[in-house]
Amino acid sequence: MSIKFLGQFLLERGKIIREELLEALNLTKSTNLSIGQIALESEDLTREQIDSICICQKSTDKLFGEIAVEKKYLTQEQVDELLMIQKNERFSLRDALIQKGYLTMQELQEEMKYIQERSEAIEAKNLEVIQASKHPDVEQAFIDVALKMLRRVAQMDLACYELHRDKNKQNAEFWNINQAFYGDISGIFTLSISEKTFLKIASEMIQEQQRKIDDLSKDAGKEFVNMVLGNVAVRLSEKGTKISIKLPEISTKLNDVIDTDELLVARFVSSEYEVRCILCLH
Amino acid sequence: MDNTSKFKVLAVDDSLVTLKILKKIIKDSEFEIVAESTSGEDALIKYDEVQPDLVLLDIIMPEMDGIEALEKIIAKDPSAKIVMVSSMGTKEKVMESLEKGAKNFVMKPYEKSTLLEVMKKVCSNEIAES
Repeated sequence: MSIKFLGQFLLERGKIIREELLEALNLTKSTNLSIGQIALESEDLTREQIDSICICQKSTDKLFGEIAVEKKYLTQEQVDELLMIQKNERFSLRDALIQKGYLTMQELQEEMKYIQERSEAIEAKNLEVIQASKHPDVEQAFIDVALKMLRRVAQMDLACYELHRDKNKQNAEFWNINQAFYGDISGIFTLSISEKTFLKIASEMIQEQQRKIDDLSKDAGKEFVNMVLGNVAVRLSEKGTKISIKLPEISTKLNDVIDTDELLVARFVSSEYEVRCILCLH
Repeated sequence: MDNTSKFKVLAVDDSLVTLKILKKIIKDSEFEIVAESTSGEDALIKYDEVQPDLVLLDIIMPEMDGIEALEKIIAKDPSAKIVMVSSMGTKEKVMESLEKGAKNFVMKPYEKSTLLEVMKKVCSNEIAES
């Protein structure tokens, strides 16, 4: 588990309260600079070049620096130097919590140790879940692509919190966007999300703030899942597995497709959002 | 550039969001969306009606998909300029599209500048096949 969930852990364990977390996060946001901002200040990049890289980032798995080098805006040496500056000057949530006086250094160190132990246990369990699959490459492709698209296109800072195969542990969200696929392997992929998460995805897709789940928002949700599966199809085809995809559908309950031997549920979470990706292979 | 000298575009996609985004992208460019379709069948009718300079065509659509619509448009107008815009960018789909007459293939999600550049090249007969 990523350190980005430090805040969540501390909240869960009652070490800090919500307002303290938000204040500390605001302090980190106002203090830290992105690599683009550092490059702008050092005049290594122009605003137009940064905008161009950010747009490009939404449609690829590549990092800011990689795209900057590809576009010949920066050399690799310049990128390395900017990353070093960013790393050296990074003001973390830990720094903010201590500076604000919400936790002492000793309290924080104890919590970090606990988090590290728990994180290693979760990663080991997730690896075990994937390795037990009949189709580990297929499942990994779905998890990787869905997470990347949620981060890049839907702008959600999610991480994989849990993988499981327990049919009785669904806790599906209200909105479920399903899309079937067939070919060398067939099944159904479902994005199970709350209204808040749905609106976030729709807003980023439409590039306008959406306040209710109307036909346009639903269409955006379906188009998002369609992009995930299209990109999964490309990923799988590179490894010799061919799939075609059907049209996505939206329902407000999980359908019977979860009744399969090959079920995988991936829970992606951030401090604000949670997404359940449910993959049923037939 | 006034509307009379703009390239006429037929946008075909079952996603209303995609059509909305396409309009935003194309606004203030040398292109104008003169007709929209949300299905392959309707695209064939609209193609005859508006005789566009360029067609932007999705693949995954209900009933008649984009590949079938591509074949039918090319059958009636071999000089049709069609760019596929789809997330199904597997090598097979890209090759199938190009072999059946598409001028280019842009994979979703795409960069605005990439799409406009492809559209410009296709309309100026500089066919850049990816």
